[in-house]
Amino acid sequence: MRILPRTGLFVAVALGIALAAPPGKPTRVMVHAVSRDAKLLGTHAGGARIVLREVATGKVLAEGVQQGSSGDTNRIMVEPHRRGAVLYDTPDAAGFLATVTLERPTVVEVSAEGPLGHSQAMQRTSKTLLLVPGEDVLGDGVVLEVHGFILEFLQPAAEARVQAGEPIPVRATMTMT
Amino acid sequence: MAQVVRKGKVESEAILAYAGEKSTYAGTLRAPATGKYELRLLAMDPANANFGMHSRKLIVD
Repeated sequence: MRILPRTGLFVAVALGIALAAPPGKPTRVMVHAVSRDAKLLGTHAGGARIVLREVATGKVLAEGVQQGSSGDTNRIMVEPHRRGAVLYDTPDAAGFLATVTLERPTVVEVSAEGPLGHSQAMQRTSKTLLLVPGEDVLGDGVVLEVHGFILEFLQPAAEARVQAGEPIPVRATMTMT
Repeated sequence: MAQVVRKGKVESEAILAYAGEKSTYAGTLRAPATGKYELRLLAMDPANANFGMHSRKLIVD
């Protein structure tokens, strides 16, 4: 008999809180991770891990892997860049479209880590920005620049053995991340 | 650039030149005295704040 009124009170309070909480609005955010002085981190390099996190709480709002092509070479690398022109958001170009649910204007950290296919060249970069519920960030969106080169040995083989004083031929590839 | 490194000390190094194939570079190092080494690749473009490194084990008999 004494439990019922307390239970009723708890249900009423919980219902009140649920009704008072503003509904979250889905908000789309396009993210492009791009190599410093080069093109997008595409599938060829393993892509990049993208995470959107609420700064105040550390809560992950969205995460995924950027996949796609490295983008339009002429547009990114050759032609002059004009303010407002789209550089990265072209058909099949690598990118990650996140959808986050926001109840209020929220400061969000957006991070990119890659290239995922080359652990020796992995770097992480991030920036913070204010997002507003329902205000989609599309087009080039949030652009994150990843610095570095990908180096790979072609010769000698792993754990090679050579003779003291002898020449060691070295052959390697170097590409942008 | 390629380097032979042991205990943080560069024992031998060589500039790798363009090898005639896309993104490929080559050069020749001289093997130091007998021992276990790190063979290190290093690429540097400070003007663009771009650097890269990769290494593997090298055994000199």
